[in-house]
Amino acid sequence: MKEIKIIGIGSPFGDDRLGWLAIDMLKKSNSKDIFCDLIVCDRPGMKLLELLHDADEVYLIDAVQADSPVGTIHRFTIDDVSSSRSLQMSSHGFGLVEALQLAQALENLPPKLIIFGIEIGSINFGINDFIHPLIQSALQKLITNIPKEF
Amino acid sequence: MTKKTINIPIITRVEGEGALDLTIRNNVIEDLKLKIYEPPRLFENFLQGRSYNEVLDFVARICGICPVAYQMSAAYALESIFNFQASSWIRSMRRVFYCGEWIESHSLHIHLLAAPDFLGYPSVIEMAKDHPEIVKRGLRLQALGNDIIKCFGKRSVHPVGACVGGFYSAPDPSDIAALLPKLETGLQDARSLLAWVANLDLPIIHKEQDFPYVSLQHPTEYPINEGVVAVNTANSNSQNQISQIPIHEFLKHFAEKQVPYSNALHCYLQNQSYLVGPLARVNINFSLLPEVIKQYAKDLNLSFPSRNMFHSIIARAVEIYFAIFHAFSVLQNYTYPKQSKHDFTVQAGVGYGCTEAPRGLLWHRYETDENGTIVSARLIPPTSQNQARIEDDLRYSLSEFGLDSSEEQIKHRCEMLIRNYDPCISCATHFLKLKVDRK
Repeated sequence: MKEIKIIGIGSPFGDDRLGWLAIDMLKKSNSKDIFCDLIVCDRPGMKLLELLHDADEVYLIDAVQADSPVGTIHRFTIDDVSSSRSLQMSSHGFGLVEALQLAQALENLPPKLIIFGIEIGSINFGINDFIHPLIQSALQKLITNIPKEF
Repeated sequence: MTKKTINIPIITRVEGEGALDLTIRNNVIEDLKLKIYEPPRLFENFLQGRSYNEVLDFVARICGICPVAYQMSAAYALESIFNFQASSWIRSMRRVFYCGEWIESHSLHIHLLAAPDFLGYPSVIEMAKDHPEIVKRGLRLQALGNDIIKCFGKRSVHPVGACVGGFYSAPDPSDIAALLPKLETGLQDARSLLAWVANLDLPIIHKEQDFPYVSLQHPTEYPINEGVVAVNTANSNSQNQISQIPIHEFLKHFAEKQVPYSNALHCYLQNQSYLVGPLARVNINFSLLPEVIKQYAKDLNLSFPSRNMFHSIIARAVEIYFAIFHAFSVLQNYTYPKQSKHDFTVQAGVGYGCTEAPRGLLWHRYETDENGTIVSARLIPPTSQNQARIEDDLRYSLSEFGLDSSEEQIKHRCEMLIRNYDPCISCATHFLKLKVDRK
């Protein structure tokens, strides 16, 4: 049986919580198609590398800013992030891209890795329960379609 | 007459954000400014009006890399107002808790931030392709540090286990038992790391700078949470001499000063810039390290004290070894306590806490009212204390390096020099006095 992990990455700030919300929705969905580990992370940085172990397939869900319409669902593979270069490398800012590039350099990637990025537009740093309706519907669409990836 | 201006807009591989402006005229440094432009944190003001039992959760959020340090300095300061005497279990476990943070922070700095410099790589990602085992060892050590913190803090990011009076709950003996084999592997990793660092091609300094260095000092142990502030200065015969300052007299000797170009305050010891951090600690406290570590350092031809800032990476590796050794020896004899926290008397007063964060001395002062509400807070982080020293170091070291070097070489040298201090810029910008002139 395949070991599958779905990891929701986020922070407490507004729409940047969407990764956590996705996991929450998956847990509540009671779908028979979801037979995997559901994990949430708060700004994991390098700690993400530990989570990539011991899995055949890993799906990451995170908020992105890619100048696309709010709610756009991007699907990336490691090849899409390999060549990306962030402006600065600090351990406070060790983001998803740097962590995955390091995992790749260490040959520590799972056999299948997909990154789903949902466009949030500008970052709303309010700590509240509000989530943009376009993001809400993108999340619903994503969690419905994820089982088709397995 | 030639003048060149070099601007490094964002210094890579330090915590937070910073920039450096350098003006060179006729091969002499005319002006040098290290600018911190991360949004200032107003923690000293946030804490006013808060209850004492909220302080540790607030201050843990000042820094994602050293939350334990902030919690410990705050706990000790508040407990000194409330007549609290820690049990030996609490005292001992707080040292272990803190060791987790040293291991995690130092490993992260050595492997992700500093080592790429010394091996000639632009980042750890390129370094990992050629030296995967080195980077994996660093990540293993970082994970070990996080595991120790999680044992006591229940999670490693913004840990929640520590409180005024001790810990909310004691780790289960089975959790401690699970940690022991990781600590044993960690000891091997720490020894091989120290040997590797000792053999790095570090820049040689022809003439050491003369500056005081400052750390805690304790009569019987390598200091983490307790002790007096020890200042080492070279006297006129170039002999090291140490003067000791009780922590409540810190402000009689050290003063913070705002500079116009930076959000972070500069700190001076009687108008001199000074060094805090692992190199200062190892310099002052080397004799209190366990014998096996001292002997190993001697076998590797390492000698302290040193004022060569490039030896900071060695000091960090020494401290990783110490922290794992110490945690292992304490936890091998772990016993589950009757109580993980004790009572204290909430009352009005002023208290001081001074502990050794991974980056150096972290000094807290609080005043409380009779309900334990915070009337005022003063937090002096290690990176502020090092700011003036970093600027003085840059002025001196760049002149020694050669100002006729190319702009790219000077830029890289500046970044390496700054990274020696492992400045945690987000800690240092916690305070801003605002003056509004309404016309």
